[in-house]
Amino acid sequence: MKKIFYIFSTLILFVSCEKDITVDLPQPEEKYVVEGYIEQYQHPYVFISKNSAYFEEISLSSIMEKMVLDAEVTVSDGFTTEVLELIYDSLQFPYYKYVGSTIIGEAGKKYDLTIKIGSEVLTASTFIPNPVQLDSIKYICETDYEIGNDTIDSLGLGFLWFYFTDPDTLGNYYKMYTKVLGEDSIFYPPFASVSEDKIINNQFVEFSTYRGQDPLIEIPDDEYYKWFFKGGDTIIFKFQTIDVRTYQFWYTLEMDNSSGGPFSTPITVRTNIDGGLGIWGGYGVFIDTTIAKLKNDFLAK
Amino acid sequence: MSVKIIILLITLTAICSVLFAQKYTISGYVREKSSGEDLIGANIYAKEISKGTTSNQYGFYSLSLEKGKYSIVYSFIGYDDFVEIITLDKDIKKNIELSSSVITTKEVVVAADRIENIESTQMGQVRLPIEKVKVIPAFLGEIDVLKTIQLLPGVKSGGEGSSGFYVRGGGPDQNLILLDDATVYNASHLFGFFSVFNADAVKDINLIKGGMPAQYGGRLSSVLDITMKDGNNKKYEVDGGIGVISSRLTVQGPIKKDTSSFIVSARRTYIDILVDPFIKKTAKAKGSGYYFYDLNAKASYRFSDKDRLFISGYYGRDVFTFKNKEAGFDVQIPWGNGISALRWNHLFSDKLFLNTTATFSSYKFNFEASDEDYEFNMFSGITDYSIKSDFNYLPSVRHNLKFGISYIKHVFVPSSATAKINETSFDTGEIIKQHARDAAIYINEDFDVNEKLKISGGIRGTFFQQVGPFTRFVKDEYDKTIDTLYFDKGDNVKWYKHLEPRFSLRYSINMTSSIKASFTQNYQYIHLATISSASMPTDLWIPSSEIVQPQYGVQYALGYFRNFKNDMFETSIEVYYKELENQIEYKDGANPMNTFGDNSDNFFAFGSGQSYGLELFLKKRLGKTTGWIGYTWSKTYRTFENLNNGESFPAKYDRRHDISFIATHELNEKWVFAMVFVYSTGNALTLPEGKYYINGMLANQYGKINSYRMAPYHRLDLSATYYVKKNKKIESSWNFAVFNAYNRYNPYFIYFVTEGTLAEGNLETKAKQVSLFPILPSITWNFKF
Repeated sequence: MKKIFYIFSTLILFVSCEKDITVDLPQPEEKYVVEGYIEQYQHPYVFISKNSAYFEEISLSSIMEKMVLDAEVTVSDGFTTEVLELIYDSLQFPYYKYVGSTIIGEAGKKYDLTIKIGSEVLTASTFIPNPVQLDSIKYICETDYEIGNDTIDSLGLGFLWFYFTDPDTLGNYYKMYTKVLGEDSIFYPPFASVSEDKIINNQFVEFSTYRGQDPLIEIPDDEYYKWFFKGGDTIIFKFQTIDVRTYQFWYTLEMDNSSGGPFSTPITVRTNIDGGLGIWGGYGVFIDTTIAKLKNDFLAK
Repeated sequence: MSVKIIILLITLTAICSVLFAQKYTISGYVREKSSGEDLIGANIYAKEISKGTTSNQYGFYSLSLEKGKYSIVYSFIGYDDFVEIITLDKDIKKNIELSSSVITTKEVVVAADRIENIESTQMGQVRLPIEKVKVIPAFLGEIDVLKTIQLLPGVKSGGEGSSGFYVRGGGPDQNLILLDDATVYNASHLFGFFSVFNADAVKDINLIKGGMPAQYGGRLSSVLDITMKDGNNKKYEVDGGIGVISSRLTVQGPIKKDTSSFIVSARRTYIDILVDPFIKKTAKAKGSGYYFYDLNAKASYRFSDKDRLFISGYYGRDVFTFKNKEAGFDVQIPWGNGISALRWNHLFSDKLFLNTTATFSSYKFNFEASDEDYEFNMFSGITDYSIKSDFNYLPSVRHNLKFGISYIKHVFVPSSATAKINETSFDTGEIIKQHARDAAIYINEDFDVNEKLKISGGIRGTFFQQVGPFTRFVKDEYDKTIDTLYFDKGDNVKWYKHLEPRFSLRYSINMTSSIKASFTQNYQYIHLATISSASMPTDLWIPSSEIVQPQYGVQYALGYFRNFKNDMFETSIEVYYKELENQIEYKDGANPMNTFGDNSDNFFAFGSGQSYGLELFLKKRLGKTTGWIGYTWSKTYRTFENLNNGESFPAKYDRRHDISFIATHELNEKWVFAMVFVYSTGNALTLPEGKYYINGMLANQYGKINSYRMAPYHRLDLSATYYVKKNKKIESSWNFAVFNAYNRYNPYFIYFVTEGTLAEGNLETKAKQVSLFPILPSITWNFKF
């Protein structure tokens, strides 16, 4: 659909003219933004910030200034309740997060989040679905992608392929992350990181993915090879299962981010936070690792 | 309920009056002298008793009067009146041919047709003979029926680059557009810049925006009934036009003189061909381009004065090609309508007229993409097969009874796809067709109660059924699929039936003024789903189902009509109030192309609409300078439980003010000048008010739906037509036109761009406004021989 609109827009823009205008927008309602995770085998952690006006200039430091550092964050699994502690983590922007130390995420369990900021209370609840086991993962070199740089050319570039059987019940949702050992400090999501089983229900499926990217780093056009894995990479693939509301949050967020331009329709990023914006998500996890073969090994076959 | 009783009474009165009155009938056809074309809406008037009738869509009239001597006046605007004195002591058949009056102004005479607006019960109706449309300045010289009706009060355009039109707060899918009785699903080429109706092949345009009589149904807002020319049955004629971006040619003539005729009319744009030689062979996008063409054809045969047969067809395609040599990427997007109609007129007697029509109508949209080893084809559309019979019974001058039945079989294709990679074909699911049946029965009576009061009442019974084969994907509240239901061929999926009462009345205050009121209730069983803010050829037609309830609309209208200065000026004030139920919008974040393993109707939110407004109209219809001013003040709201927190919001095409001013001036026999000025409140749109950072991305936080307004739209168009001195062989004219004369940059859409990066700390958002057409002059040469 987007493509069609894009193509139509090229046709229309052929005759059109464009100018900068000033748009008078009202101040948005002030809202708290929650980015909270509870992953299987891990302690929960939560970032809290505030929204900004649409035309406000944004930088890493302005985002830091929007962080909320005086919240009381509580997570409960129905039996245990713990208050998360604010820490500084230099590996993950925007550095300040609330982390737990008692509760560890378990598949099949429901987790409630309560955030108190002054007199305001935000609540949310999520579920960790059972993880879905991958059959296998495999790096496949795409020899087509050749670039001037000899070193990389001899290594080869390619996608990561993964194979699994979707469970027989409808309503399985997935989120992917990748990490190249020695290069990425944490797991990063690839472009379009979530999917659902509407068409693949109860089938054996094969998918490929680009390499996950640090969202804060812009990749210049002449370094496009960074979108791919290369020969010799040790690739860790994290395959998560999520509930429908977590899926909808990520899906709409990624759609909202890739849209823009003439024919896009407004997409409201969904939320499961009562009284705020953002997501409190539970993640079931399956992890697999592979080492990418060099280009010559592929050609030798 | 009371409405039903009134209708029953009217029907009974009609039958009684037939039984007891002793009357004779004068009937026949009114035709154009030089071509033999039927004249639609001509007035036939018995001077002595100030009573008359109008010819129907086939030029047929029937006037039943008491025994006596009458002067019968036949008149039609732009034609010389024809008066005949008859002694009515038996039934008389009289076919009349009217000859067109000279182009310059004729003396103002009071003719019956000029008080039609005061006389009839019909309100919110406009009939435009095509000759009147032809002098109005046209976009790039291409005369356009749809553009012209958008200049009338209560009818709004979606703006440049939007194909639909909006009547009294209704959506673009709520207009029933008929070409020779066959439904036209997409009435425009190139996103509304041109309409599919080739003016050379069109005879008559009839728009009903309120008080829809019972013979029409299936849509909530309006009827646009367009009749094609039958073709000249006296002599061969070729006419055409050569313009800046398109040309057209029409050939018509008798197959057998006076009894049968044909007309073929074709049109094509050629901007692609003109531009192509100037694009380098090596250019990346070589071979990309756009064109449209259409073809109208019609033939008619008169077996006798009792039986006539018409066959007509339309076929048009827009084709957009996009090529990218570098990427080896090739896209073709053809879309368009194919329509055909077979009609049979039969006269049972001089009082009972029957027309039976069988039609086929299809709208298709295709998207074909391919590169070296990949092929992708996506398509959507709708196909209708229909048959209907309409009776018209004219027992006396005071009664006009219409009744009939219709049946339509719909096949919807709400977006399907096939793909091929190398030699392997992928069946991405069987074509997701949806099938439905649509039937209706109606009766409508116009009754002259006395000199002052005339009423028209009718009722329409409608039935709609969605049938299998069909697969339903059942969702929970978060759109998670929880079940799948299968229906076999012919299985009932869901059915609906409804009654639609219609009622209108006219009360004459005196010869030059009247008050009219109307009430209509309509159901509409098909819906158009629009994802973008403008209506596009990608919009999907979908049937009512157990999820999508039929659209329901009720309209109340009241009007005061008054003519001045011997009917030189025609004025009216109309107010309306309209309520709509079961309106659809895409849910927030819906992706309508993602229908594999899903139903398109799972993507909708449902709500209601309200619209009210005031329409002022002043028309100068006679003299060297003619034209009109229309002004509409209106409010149109939508309320959806699941959108905008359940709060009402303005519809996309809510316009507080809408003004049109049209004037034409005949300077002399050679020169005719014309101008159009339009002004309307800017389109409503939703804009982001805030943003927030989350996981490396910036999310937009949107404000209330349609709470922002773009700058108002206004534009002036001018034209001058020069009629070359007629010689024996050829008649021609030059049309010079300027579109957007003062080069206004009207907003088409607003969008935002972000510049800079987060990491560098210079991320900035800017607003941009895109406008479509600057000042555009054009020149067209029209000829006829």
